[in-house]
Amino acid sequence: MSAGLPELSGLDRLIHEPARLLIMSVLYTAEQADFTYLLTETGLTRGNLSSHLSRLEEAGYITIEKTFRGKVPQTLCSLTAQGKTAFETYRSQLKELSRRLSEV
Amino acid sequence: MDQYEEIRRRTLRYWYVDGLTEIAVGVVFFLLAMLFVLMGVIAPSPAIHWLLGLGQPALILLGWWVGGRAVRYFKERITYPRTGYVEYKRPQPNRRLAKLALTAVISFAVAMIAASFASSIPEAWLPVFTAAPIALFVIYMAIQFGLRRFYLAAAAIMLAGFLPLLLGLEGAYASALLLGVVAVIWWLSGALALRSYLRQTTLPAKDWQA
Repeated sequence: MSAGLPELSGLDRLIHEPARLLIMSVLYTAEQADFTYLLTETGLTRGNLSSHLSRLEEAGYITIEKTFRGKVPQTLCSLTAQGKTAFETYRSQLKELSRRLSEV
Repeated sequence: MDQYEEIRRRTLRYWYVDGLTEIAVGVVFFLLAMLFVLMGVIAPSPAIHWLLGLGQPALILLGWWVGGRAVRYFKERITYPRTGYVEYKRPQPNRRLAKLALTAVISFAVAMIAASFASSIPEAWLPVFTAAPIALFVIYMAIQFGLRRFYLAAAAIMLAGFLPLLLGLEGAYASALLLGVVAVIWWLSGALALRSYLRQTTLPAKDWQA
């Protein structure tokens, strides 16, 4: 099991948090998703979701765009190139870790 | 299954959550059925049949375009305010072109195979052989997006293929009946999905920020 530990410690903790991992996974699949969709998908409170989105934005992983859909304000989130790379790295690290653990 | 894979499928499946696409697809099938009724009603003339034959792909393309716009219009009013908006990735222009070319080649190959088989298949069985690829495509969609109700739709479409055979219908009317029943299947599937979606979701207050 110790063979997998270096990878475990190298995992991106910002993405590793379940709610943020879910947000990143959704945004990796879609081009953009709005706040309401992420709220529905994550089941978080509005405050919690805002906090997670802010942390991802601060890390440069996502962009948050405030716009209008008709007369309704809309908050659109999308993954940045840096966020895409970070997510892909996280996934490959996790896969490698899982492979090593299955070998033990 | 990989947890990311499940989230990916769930995000893609969201497009079908409200049943609106199925209702639009049902309209296209209904219009195609009407075209076949017209072919049955109008006295057989090569020129008219040629024109009506040309009408099928034109109707599918027009239905695809108008249907897509109608679905987006209703999603803006029904779905996005309730459960949010997702914009899906569009394939790169060169990949889109390659996909289009591949689709054209496959369609041509299927048409050629179908044409060579059609002469050896009794005419009464043609609706069954028409229903089969439609049902297979619906099964492919069901697997691709994890849409369980599409398995039921595929089974119903396959059964619909036997309906003209059981009723002893042949020719244009047999095709019209098959396509008409397929339209009803999509409407039912879409309407049930929409009803379930509306029951499970609520429209947020006016000051809600999406």
